[in-house]
Amino acid sequence: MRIAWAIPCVRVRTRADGLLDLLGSQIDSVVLPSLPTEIEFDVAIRLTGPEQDFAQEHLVQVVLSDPQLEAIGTLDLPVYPRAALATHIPGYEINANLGARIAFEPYDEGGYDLSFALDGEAQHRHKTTLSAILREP
Amino acid sequence: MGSTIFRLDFTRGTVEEIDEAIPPRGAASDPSARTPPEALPKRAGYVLAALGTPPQRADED
Repeated sequence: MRIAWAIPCVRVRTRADGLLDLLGSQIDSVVLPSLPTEIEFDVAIRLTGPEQDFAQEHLVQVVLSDPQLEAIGTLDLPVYPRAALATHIPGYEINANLGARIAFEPYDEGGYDLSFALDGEAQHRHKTTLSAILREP
Repeated sequence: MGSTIFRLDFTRGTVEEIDEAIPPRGAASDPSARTPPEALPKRAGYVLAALGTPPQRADED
């Protein structure tokens, strides 16, 4: 299993058919009049891999770092087991779509990094930065 | 089949599952299945935007 993509956006909505709606994609900045201010944004994440990889639960570790590259925290995003659909083509990979609503309080201007690991293995390709910019929105 | 949203609160160190599924309204290619623009959340006191990204840092690969 691997992370195929992780896209920061204003809002992710899940759909009953398993798809995601991405609204306001792709963001890279937040403009605020003062700090600290609690903010929220969403990240749409797609995981893909062979069917057997989805037989058990996995964990995506989400690490948030401040502009000085110091880790603010690490939180675990569970990936629940799932089976392939009846329409699954044998040999094809299957996938899971997740939304992560990120809430935190930037306390300084600069880039806040989100990085990801899957079951403890870093997924370097998907690091993303949200820049906090102090200005009247 | 479903997809899931979790709220990851780095201020409080909590992870919470959110149930916000949009009911099915048609096939994926059906425009009526799209979320209307008014469904975009209104943020209090800040604006999320695409203004550019800083140069890649030396520790990035």
